[in-house]
Amino acid sequence: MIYGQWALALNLFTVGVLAFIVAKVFVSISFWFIKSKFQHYTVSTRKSLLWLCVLAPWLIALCVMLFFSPLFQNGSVFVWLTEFAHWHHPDIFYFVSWHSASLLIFIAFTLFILIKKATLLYRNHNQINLLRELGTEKSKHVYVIESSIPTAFTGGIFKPLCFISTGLIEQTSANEIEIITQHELAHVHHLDPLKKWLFLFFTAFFTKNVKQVLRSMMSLSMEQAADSFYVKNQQQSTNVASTLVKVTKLASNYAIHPQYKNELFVHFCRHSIEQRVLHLLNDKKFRPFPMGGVVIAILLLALISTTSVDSLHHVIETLFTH
Amino acid sequence: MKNAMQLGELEKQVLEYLWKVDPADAKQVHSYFEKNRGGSLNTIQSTLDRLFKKDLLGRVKHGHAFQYFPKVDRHELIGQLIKNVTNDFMVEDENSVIAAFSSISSDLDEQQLNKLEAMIEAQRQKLQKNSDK
Repeated sequence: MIYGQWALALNLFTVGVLAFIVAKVFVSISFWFIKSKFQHYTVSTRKSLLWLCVLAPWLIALCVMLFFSPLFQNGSVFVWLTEFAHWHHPDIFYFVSWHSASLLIFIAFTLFILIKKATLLYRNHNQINLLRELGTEKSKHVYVIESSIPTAFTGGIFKPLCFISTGLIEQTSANEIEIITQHELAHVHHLDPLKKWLFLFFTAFFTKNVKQVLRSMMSLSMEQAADSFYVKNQQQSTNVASTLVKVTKLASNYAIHPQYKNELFVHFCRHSIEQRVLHLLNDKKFRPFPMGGVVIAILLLALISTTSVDSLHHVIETLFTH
Repeated sequence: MKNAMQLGELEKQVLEYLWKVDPADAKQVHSYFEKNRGGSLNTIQSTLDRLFKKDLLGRVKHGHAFQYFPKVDRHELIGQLIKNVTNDFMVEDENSVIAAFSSISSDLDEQQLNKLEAMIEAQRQKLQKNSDK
């Protein structure tokens, strides 16, 4: 058992963990029911909403920690709320308690995820470096790699590079290669590999189903953003769409090869071709960013998480005595 | 091939050389690089050793010296790297999940791709007509 400032800090972390869990559950449930509405928004709005979904539990946990700190608990403005949300004996922390157990489990899980994703990052970084060394620089950020696999992709976390295989160059026209290159350069411009890695980390805290939908939606949004990045008119849109279909056909023919069975190598076209083609051909009007809805949702989430921490505390302590 | 791998400039050149002449011992490699870029036999020896430890080269003893040979050919190595890099960030079970986002299935066959092509062509013709007006 410890007392004083350290106990206060550890209790606040426990509060943060509980708030994070509550917020994550509510975000998951809300997201599951509204996910089909995302398609009515522009790609950039969709990306922002997805980031908000994965970051909200962390931000809410931080706010709730602040609220439970003496900074706010002693303030008269929030007196009415402290009736519903308060933490008993914040200056005493028991090591042999559910407080400490939940804190340790959360830290261990976060470290596990962090190490796992950092290993992936390190391995990917080295492999991209090796590919760069084995390839030939075609232009700034663009490398040609000698391979019969018809492929084009962007890799590298901090200094992303585009890789296009000779197999793809041989089977496509100069105009199509230009479209593919511009698409990959858009990923470089947006720093998509780094964002994808961060998104992988933050989604790792969600359940399998929610995690998969979040990741798929983010991947699709990134691809659609890259498809339209250099598109200035409808004519260019149709050219990108037809290149997508052609490259998909190439890739699916290649996947039949026994050596690469079940593999679809071309990242330029791997994400839901139909949706990307329809997005390029469609000139439908998208809804504006739902600012009002987002603000209300965040405030509600903050309120639910703050009050739930106290309720959860009481429920657990009717079952266990610390 | 080991996962965490980085090649130095000389390592890359030695590997490229062995892809051409496979197999060779340290003296043969050294005599080639001595003419082209300089460097001592020791440097070449340790470079070959590093490539061996990185699992890129194999070796067999011939008399007192090792004969080094590439364990994978250039295309195989690049193919493996492409596969690893692209799988690292692959979304699990992507197609079955994305269907939840849209009512349109993303599991495309040749016929569906042809349908998409027809749609694109129709759009092209529509644009052409509009520009002619």
